[in-house]
Amino acid sequence: MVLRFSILILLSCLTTTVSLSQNSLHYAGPYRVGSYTGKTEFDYKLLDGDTVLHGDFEMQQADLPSLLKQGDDFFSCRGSFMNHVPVGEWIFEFGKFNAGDRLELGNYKYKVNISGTLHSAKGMMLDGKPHGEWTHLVQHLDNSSVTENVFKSVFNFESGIPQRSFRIDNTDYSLLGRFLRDGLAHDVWSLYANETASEVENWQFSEGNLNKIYSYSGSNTDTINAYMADQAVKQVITLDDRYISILELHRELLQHSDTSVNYLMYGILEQHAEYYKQVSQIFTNLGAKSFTPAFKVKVKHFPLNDQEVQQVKSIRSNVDHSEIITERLLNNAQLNLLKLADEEVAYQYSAVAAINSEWLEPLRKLSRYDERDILTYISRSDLLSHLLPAGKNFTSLEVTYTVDNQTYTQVIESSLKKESIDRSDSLIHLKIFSEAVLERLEAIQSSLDSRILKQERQAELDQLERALYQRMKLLDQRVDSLATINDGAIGKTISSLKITGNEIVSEYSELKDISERINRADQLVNCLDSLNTLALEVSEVPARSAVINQEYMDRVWNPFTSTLMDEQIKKPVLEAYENILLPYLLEQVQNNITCDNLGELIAQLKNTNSRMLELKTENTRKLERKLKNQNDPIEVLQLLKIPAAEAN
Amino acid sequence: MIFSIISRGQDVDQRPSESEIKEPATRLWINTYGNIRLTKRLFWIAQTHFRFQETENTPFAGQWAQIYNRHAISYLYSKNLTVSLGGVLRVNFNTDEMENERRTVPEWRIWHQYQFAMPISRFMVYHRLRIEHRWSQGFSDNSDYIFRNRWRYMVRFKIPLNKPKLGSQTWYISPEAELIMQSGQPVIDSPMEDLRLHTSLGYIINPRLTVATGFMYSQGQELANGAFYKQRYTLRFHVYFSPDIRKVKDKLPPIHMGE
Repeated sequence: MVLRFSILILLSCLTTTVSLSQNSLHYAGPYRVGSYTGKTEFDYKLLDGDTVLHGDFEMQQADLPSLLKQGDDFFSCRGSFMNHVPVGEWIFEFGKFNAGDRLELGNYKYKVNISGTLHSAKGMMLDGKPHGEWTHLVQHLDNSSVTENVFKSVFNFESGIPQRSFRIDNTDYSLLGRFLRDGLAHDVWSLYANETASEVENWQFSEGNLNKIYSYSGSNTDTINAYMADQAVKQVITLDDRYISILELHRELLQHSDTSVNYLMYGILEQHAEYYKQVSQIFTNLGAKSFTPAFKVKVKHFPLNDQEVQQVKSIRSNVDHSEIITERLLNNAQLNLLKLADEEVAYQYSAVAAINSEWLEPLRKLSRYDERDILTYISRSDLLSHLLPAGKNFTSLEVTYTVDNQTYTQVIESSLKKESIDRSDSLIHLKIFSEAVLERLEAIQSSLDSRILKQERQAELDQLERALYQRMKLLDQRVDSLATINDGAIGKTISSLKITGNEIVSEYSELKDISERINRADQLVNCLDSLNTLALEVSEVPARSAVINQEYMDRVWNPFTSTLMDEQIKKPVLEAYENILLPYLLEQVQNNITCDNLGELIAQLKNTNSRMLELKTENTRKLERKLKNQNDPIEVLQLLKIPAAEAN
Repeated sequence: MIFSIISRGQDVDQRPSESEIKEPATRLWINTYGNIRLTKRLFWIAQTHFRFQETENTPFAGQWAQIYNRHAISYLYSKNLTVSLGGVLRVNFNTDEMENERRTVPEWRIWHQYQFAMPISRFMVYHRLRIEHRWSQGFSDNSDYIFRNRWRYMVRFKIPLNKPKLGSQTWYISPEAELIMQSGQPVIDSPMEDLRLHTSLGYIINPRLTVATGFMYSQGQELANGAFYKQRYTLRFHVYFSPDIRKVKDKLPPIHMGE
């Protein structure tokens, strides 16, 4: 009986645990997904402490005050997850709305009309991938009425792969095309102008290869044999912005020979890619796998070998360095002024500007291609002839510059050999060219730097000398005022500082070399500052000495007079201070000052004072004995343990 | 100081019709005054006086007269009042040695003193009341102790000369007058034992050491016959010392007596 009961309890516990572990939890409240924050409800479960979305998901971002004031970024989405993988139907809405001018009351609610743009996307997801028909619709709204369909695309997917035919419409064009079962673009993709309902562009794919582009304008038909058609090595890539970039690059390469094709299809495909990206981004932000509809195309591929990878790397590095130099020199305020008056500077400045636009620009392009990962989709020879076109001169550069309304022209040479450009399709030559450009820029930089430096140094010296003069004046004033209120040895010592200051500055004025002057002036500013400090320090001596005297005075009860009497304590210490140290230090200030030992003297004066105050409470019996026969100030400094440097 | 030796050989019964002032004798006193600080308020008074007096051939320092040891504990009640209590052992030398007489005899005292200090302007005025209970004896072998009380009042000034206040390295002048009265069975017609007029010139070396010297005129009735008045001229030398034997930590904070 008992056993059966126990089993029952055990079983019930087990079931509870299982049911608990499978229990879906529910969240309702504010939630943030990427840049969107809004009221969100979702089901989830906890797996090893991680939140796993599981069940319905619904989110909406809408801000009424914002809508009424400056407009609102609306967002809503609804769908389901299974183990954090999007499944089933998903509906997205992205809006940019302003409040319309109509307001209605109904069902005890205000209804506010809206105007703006609404992008809605709807489709099925299977195992995290689009499956079945996906529609993107972008509409213009005016007072809650649709005024225009701005964009619409309908695609069929099978496990993320677009199938069969598709259609994209925007305000100007409609694009019709189709895919093979494996997602490769196939057959004819036609672009129609809505206005004329006639075909304006026609791309002919064959299993992902773009063979031909027909462009119709009026009665003209232009045909482009697209680069993808030949037998080169192909790579299957996604029809996304990178593909468009590659096409763009090819178009650039062709531009000089064929300018009549507008590649209108880019625009609509780009728009399409952008809308899909928006939806994909939400899934990514929710932690689901990124969902990219795989529209596949084939492109020619020219992979870089290890050597070429290194070469591209060096080119990019040279370009980066060159850009730093050009940016720095071209934006230097001083050079911009100097070039107006100085012919040499004007020439060099203009040379930098010319190198920047003529020689550095093609290299910069290469750098950008590599950055965008499209470099390997263009042949080396195409690249080279695109970057360093035959008609252009990359071996010498004519620099024109104007000084005092006179225009001059000079030619600069690069170390690149003309034949090496014509003959080869290798990246090595671009690398050599980038090195030559950098070298040239560095040479100009070092020459201009010395000019900047000279100007800067003169300015620096002017500033230092102003400071020097100011310090000198301050010292004079200070000494004059302090010397009048202090007489005797102190007054004399303070006065001597003015003489010292004058001597030091007059030595300086004999210097001719600008660097020497800068170095010395810099030191002298500090030196005069220190002299100022020292003057103050010396002027403090009488007061400090009085304090020390007072401190070394004890009040002693004299029973014979019944009075308290001052009694000097630690007399040898005090006497060493008054009769040996102070006269010595003042003598040093008067006769042995250099800029180098000023700090030491200031420190000694300060430290002597603080040490004397410390000694009052220390046991000095031994010290007093030693001091009795000591007249050497250096020895006394050591005996009293007065540090010669500023205490930290 | 006390002068208590009874001159003998004098006809006590012979009473003149007028008081008779004797020729002054001369003396030399060398006195040390110790005032040793024990605690914040207690001092140990330790005085040793060496007293000489003239002989026929030598004025002032002809012979020993007394060696005097005075000790007491002194309590510093306030800056203005000090109270002391102690004892004295004085050794009296026989200055008129006769046959069968002892050369020295001891004399014992118990004494207490109340000294009031008053600062007036730049100088100090002290009023000292000293009461002594005194047991003395003659030099003859079978001499008994006689007991007397002494009532002493002294007024003393200390006037700084070279400094505005009494302090270290100060010269001062100190006029003083002390009247010593006595009572007791042996005192019949000589209550005024001594009147001392003394002025000294002192130098305070530091609060712990002072030296002074001065001249004193004194006059008083003889114990045996009140009609006779002794006179003395005394040269006096004083050394005042006041060491502080407390540990350093006990000295802090110094007592300033409400200053």
